[in-house]
Amino acid sequence: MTNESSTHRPQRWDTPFGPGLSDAEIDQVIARPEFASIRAERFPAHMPLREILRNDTRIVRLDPGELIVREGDYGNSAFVILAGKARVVLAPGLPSELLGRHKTSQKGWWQTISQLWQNRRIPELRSNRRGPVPKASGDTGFEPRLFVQDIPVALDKHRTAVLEEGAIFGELAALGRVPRTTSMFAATLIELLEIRWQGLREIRRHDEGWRKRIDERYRANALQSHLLASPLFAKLDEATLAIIAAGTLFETYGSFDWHVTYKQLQRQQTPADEPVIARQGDHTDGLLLVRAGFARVVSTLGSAERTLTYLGVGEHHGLEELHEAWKSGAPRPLGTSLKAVGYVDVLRVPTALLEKHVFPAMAMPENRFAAQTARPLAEDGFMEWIVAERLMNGPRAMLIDLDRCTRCDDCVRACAATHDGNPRFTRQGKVFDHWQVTHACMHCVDPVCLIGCPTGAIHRSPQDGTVVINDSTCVGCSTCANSCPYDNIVMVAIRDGSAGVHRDSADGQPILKATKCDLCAEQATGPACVQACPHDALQRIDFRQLKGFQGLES
Amino acid sequence: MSTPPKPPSDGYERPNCRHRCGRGAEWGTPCSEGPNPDGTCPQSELPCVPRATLRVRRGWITVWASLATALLLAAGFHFGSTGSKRPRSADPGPLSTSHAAFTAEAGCAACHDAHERDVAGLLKAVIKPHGFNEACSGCHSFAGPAATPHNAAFVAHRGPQTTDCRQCHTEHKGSLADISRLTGDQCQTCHKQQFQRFDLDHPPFPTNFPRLSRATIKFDHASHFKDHFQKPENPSGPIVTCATCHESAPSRPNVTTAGFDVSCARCHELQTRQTELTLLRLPDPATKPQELDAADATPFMATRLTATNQVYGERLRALLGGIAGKGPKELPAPSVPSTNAARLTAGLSHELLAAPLKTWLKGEAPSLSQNAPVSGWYWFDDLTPELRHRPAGHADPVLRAWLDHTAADPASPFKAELRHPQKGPGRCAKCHVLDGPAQSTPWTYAPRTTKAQTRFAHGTHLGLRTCIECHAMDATVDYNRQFSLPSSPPVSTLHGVTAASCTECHGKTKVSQDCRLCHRYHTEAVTHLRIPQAKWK
Amino acid sequence: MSPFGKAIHLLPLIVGALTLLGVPWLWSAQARRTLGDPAVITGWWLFGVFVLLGAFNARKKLSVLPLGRASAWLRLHVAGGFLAIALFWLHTRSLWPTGAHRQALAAAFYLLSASGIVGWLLQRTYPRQLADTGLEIIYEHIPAEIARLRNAADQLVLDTTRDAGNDTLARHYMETLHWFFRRPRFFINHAFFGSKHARAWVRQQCGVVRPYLGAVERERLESLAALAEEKLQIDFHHAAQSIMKRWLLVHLPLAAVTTILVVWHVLLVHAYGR
Repeated sequence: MTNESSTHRPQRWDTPFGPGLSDAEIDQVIARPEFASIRAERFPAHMPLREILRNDTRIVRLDPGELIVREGDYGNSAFVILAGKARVVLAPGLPSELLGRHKTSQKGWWQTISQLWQNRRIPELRSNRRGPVPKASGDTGFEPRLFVQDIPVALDKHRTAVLEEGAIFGELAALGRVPRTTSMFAATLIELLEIRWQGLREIRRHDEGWRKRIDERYRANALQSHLLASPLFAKLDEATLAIIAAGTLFETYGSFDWHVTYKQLQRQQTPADEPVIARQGDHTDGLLLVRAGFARVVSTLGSAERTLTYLGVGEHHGLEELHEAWKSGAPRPLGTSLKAVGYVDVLRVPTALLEKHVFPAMAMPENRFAAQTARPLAEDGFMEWIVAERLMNGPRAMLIDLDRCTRCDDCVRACAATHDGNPRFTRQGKVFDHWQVTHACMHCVDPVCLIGCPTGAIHRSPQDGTVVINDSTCVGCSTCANSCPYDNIVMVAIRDGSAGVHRDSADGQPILKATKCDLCAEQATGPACVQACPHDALQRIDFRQLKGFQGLES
Repeated sequence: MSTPPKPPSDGYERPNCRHRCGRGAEWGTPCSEGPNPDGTCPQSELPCVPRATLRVRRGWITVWASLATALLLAAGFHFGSTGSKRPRSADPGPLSTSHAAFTAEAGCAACHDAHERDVAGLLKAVIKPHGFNEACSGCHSFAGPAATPHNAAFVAHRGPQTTDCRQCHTEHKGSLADISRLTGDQCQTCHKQQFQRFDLDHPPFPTNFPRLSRATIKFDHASHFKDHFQKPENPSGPIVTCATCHESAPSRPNVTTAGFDVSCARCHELQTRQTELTLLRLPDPATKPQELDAADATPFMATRLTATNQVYGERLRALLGGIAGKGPKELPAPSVPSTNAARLTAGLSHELLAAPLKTWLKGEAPSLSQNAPVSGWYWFDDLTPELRHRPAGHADPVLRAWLDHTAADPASPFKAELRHPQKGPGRCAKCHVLDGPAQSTPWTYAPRTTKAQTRFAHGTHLGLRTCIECHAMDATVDYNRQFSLPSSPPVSTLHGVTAASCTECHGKTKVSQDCRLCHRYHTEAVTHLRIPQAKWK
Repeated sequence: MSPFGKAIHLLPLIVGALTLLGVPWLWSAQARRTLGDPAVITGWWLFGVFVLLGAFNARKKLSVLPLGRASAWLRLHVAGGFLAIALFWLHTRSLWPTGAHRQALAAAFYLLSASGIVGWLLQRTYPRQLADTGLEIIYEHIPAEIARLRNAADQLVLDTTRDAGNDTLARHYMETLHWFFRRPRFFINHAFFGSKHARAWVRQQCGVVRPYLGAVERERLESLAALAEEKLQIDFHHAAQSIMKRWLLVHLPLAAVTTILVVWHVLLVHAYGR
């Protein structure tokens, strides 16, 4: 007989972003010019602007030199400078020691060994309370507290820009599910309003002014650093870069919520339905740089198209044709088409700018798609399948070679052993030929599961980019599990010590938590599944790095 | 490609679960919850009987198999362990036939100390080593200590100082196994000079092998065969062969000679009777004692008249008076034990000895018989009568006794006279080596004195080879020089035997060249067995 | 890729194996020459290799500890197994020793090695065959899947009987295919003979009834045949995965038995032989 216990189901704002703004502070914020234009009546009753400001924002006060954001972090919040000045580090980036990068704390040797006998028989056991609310460290709970020690030296060594009071920044990373592009530190004593992205999402959704501003700022501020990320432009001086940035066009294809339509229409979607970014045979007027998302490189084959490969962030299309045209003087048509898979942000750098500033100093680019073009048709199938299933999204997909796998389930047992007896994946998943991609979190480049989490329990780890779920703050709303296009997140009913299922005292439904693979970040072994497979059948890979796979080596 | 629909949970999602749904075990549809962690069915209506998973059953089978094995071992050890039956759990294989029969009664305990003990004793035996030499020495005895190399009391230069029987003799290899099988390499493990194969690089045989020490009979093979046997006065000389003197038929390492009578008497018998032993010489009885000259005495008398306190003549009269009175036993020195004196004067009667002496002592010339006997004691009738002994022939016992008697004496004219090759009585020293340091003279032909470990069977080889092919004659050596000095190295008129004589037949792909063919480890050919009465069956 | 291809990563293994075999061989030969005990040397080497082989089981149970990849351990285990056989022959100097207890140990060791080699070969041949079926199913889910197919087949036949108005198909089904759908069938044929007879049987049972069926029934028969085809694939999975799982029920208990006999042998040899 199962024992049942009941408790209170967690709510959206049970864990506010900070200590919560007081009414006076909310009034102060709303009075500011940036917020004054917002029409509060536009906001729905269950999500009023004042409550958004109360619960989804916090006021942060920092000393001069203190780092506000670190480059590379997967940040979840935007900032508004209420008072003081901040500096944006443009190039080169701050050294990583300064940014205080530290490793995920691995389990010590005693903790590791004690897993041998401490794993519990009862599945999904949690202690019989709601779990600790994440405590705020310091006054405001703001992390990190790191400092640029010597501001003048930093200013001397690094190119910086100044941000004044009223500036809004960080929304790109917050909304775009991409890492922070630059580091910022306080130039003077500074007071910031930090808005976590759940709140920013609401504000952007319901206020047009903010939507426009965010989108414009998105274009204006992000472009230069995104251009710099590409090796083509990294060596250019600031003036040239500014010229190029000013001339670069910014385009978006596909839908932001691609995963929703993908799940609904999965079997009906064909490559022919995908929006075309560039068409084979056309003369292109600019170099295409993928800024976010994935694009498919196709070439015509008879009456159909074959997928040669896919491109991700930072990769370009059309360079070879433009360079050849510039060198020979005669225009060259595109050799391949580029299509948007799901959702793609693309930068288009006009040809004239390239010919003037970039090509003269550049070596002849090689034909990157030669190997894929020469690939026999029989081997195309795997590539087509990967893109069709959107598996290219995952740099740590669990790929099992079924020709080697003896179905012994040592991988699942090892996963269970390192997670208190609860395996975080099952050996099931889509199969192509003798390859199986199982339902283990792929830690996607475009983690759509992050969208919609009410508490921010699911987030990107700052150190290594793995997507992890903070079990104590998860409210079990299943948003992430429903969002995941690959069904890699499993909602489990948690139990207490007597093996009974926790139930909500109000409606009697079991309390769920979201669970998924965490790449064994805390374990000394690294991913236990890989270590445990006796036949080298299991790997956690980025598909383009699969040996023998004619992808595009990045 | 196919994607099966997600089936209901069968507890698979928790692989550490020790049970699976009983419905599934009977090929029905398993419930979606799976068994409880304690193995009970969570369904209240129509509960199933959860079954153990394959892994759990594997664990049980392993445990049961281990227990069964341990029990079988214990049973096999405890039961059937008395007497001849070796316990199956400790059965290491059958003994060789040589050991199997007489250990049948005592069983394993005949050699293995640990066998009759209990478990604690067995474990103790594991830790504490118990040698086997005592067990083997219970029945086998050797000329020397059992646990030293070659049973000898010498210190080995290299290799172990003590040996264990089991280094060479391993048992429990089957009834027909050769329990003393050894390879050449194993023999050489202690020896300083190591070689690869007999026919390749066996160390050279010693010079004059097998004659490694001085002979006891002087016989120059070369001069005899080249000269003496060819002389016209030896009509049968040319037909003399090795076999004439050497008994080669018995298959022994030593080829003994046939003895003087067969080998030498034909030519040398006469010589043994030609010279006589002269002990006493009586001077003219009329001569006054003061006028007697010591120089007239025989060398024997000089040994008896060593005192200088009196005039020579008086001493002589005293000596002769004593001899006449007490008889032959007084003839050798008074300190000589009577048994020796009897041998030294065998055949000499008191009457024969004393009568002339008494007459002389009275001052008259003794009357002696004119006829000398064929052999034995007699008084030689002359101006100065002499007591002489005529040898009966070869190996005359009296001469032999006198030579033995004087062997330990310091050098003296008498000793030298006895041992003169040409002039000595019986001419014993012509052929016998009489100057060695030994207390008693080695009269007989002494066999070769090689090490006790080497052996050679002449009998099996003589059909294939003649003697001369291995023992070639060497006429170039100075044979007699070695007998002038006792310490001089032995010289043989036969070339030493070399390995070359052997390798024509013994070598790779030919007849065996195993070390044990020619060498023994234990110094005697057969180790003595003294099986205790209790073990006789 | 090196000119030797994938085999290059076997080189350290081969060198290691030759060393682990060569050292006791030479050492024991030297001991034999110098009147030592070669069996003690080869025996302890064999014991050491045996312990290392057994450590693989420990490694599998200690997957939370960073002890190295299980695939490397398996390679070492297989190579070590062959090395153990060679060392065994070096130790016993014969194929079959004398004496009951040594023969028991030799028998256990041979059985263990044979089961290991057989299991290794099975694990190298079955996975591809499983992948080639085009179906992927977890072993513990097979009963549910068979139940589903059985229910679907039963229902199909019931519906056909109702729709067609006669029970020809149903009767034939109860006489033949119902048995087939009850549980996995043709185990041996699937496991060792390429499923040929199983496939032929199904084809035969489906074909033999066809002349007696009307149009509607024939349509349903095709659906039934499709279900049977799926069942055949699942049966093959059941057979192959069963064998790959149950093989260890032979190998591991034999390992335990051999270990006990080895320990007994060591005790005995030291108690009686020193």
